[in-house]
Amino acid sequence: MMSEYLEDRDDGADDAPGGKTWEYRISFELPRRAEIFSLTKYRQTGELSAARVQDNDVDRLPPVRPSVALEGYSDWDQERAYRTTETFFSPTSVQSMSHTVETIQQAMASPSLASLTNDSISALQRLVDSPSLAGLTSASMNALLQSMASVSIPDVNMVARQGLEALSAVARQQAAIHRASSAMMPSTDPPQSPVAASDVEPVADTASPETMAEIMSLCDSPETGDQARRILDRRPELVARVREIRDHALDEFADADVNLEPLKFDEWDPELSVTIYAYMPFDDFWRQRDEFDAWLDNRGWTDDPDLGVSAFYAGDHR
Amino acid sequence: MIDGAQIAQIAVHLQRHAGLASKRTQIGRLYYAAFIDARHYCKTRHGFVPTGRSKDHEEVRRIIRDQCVDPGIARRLGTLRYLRNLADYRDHIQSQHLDGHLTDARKLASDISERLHDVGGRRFYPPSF
Repeated sequence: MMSEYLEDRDDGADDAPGGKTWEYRISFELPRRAEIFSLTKYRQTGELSAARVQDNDVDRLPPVRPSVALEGYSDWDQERAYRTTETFFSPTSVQSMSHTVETIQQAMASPSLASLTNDSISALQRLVDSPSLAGLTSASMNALLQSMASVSIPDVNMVARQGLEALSAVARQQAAIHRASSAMMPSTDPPQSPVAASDVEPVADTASPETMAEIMSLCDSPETGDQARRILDRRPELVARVREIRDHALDEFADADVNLEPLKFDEWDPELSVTIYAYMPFDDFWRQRDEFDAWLDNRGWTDDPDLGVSAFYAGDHR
Repeated sequence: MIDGAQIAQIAVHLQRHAGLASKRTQIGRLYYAAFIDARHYCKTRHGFVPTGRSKDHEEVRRIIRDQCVDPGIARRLGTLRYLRNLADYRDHIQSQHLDGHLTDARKLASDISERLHDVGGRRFYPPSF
């Protein structure tokens, strides 16, 4: 898969009122076809449009109207959103997004892409400031979408969910293809998945004794260990989930204590919870927890009847 | 009828009192203040009819998560509820952890209050916290 960035600025008159502020044309060479997308922002209306260009035929996707998405938000928010959008689709960034074309397309078709807010901007800034923009692959997109999902504007949340679902679907498809091809012809090559392997829900299986021991080591008491074993015997897919949650928690909350403990106070509470006790400045914790919760949301792991997850602030340092 | 602000006022008042009991009680009152006004929001905006049983705590969160334009309120309310349960029911909490839970509870209450206000509910806790 190759991508090429074609810039085509045009500040003159155009078919939309106000003329273009900018236009990016992105060409994707997929295995069996070439796709060109045109992203255009118009000066006066603020409209952001995405179009698929095929042999000079323009199949316009639904226009994006920030004025709708941003109703009720201040001019400053809108200006900030525009700046973010432009950063998001900066030439350098776009060049490395070939693997996420479907997600971009989906996001651009939504009326709320321009509604990015603080958390999303921070995430974007981190990506843009990254030493290697070549790393702006689906994993980065995943992080961005998770960040977007954490904000309180429903439209943004919806876009993020759609994007994450698209990424997950691609990941599942790629993983299935890889499994099928591995079964036919064993290979040492890693799967060419556009999504990190960790994004794929592991197939339920019996955990190895080593893995179970690793999970049991998180339990805060022998009684909790027994309880955990009963639940995990019944739902072995939770073993991989607990490990993934622990790993992600340690990424988000460095030096945290991660435990398995019973936090069942009412009948509707899960029997067992992964608890994270984080030691870091509170403002950092607050932001990280939002991101962590959004990640859980998007994995569909927030309302499991057997396994809860909670992150608690335990102080600036140990 | 009692409202969240009156309950939250007790938590603010308790800040003058040092000690574990005060901190634990503050956390409990902050959750209850948030719950009362979240429940009021669900009643007035989404037609929720409380049962008066503990299940209402879950139902309020579910309604907000599924029907409110700001479902993030539900997640914060759930976290605050866990902090309240820890504060009320867990015998041993490290002092440092309890201080952390209280800091978190105040911020959660303030944030929930602002968000409820933004969606047409009542503000029960100072936004400046």
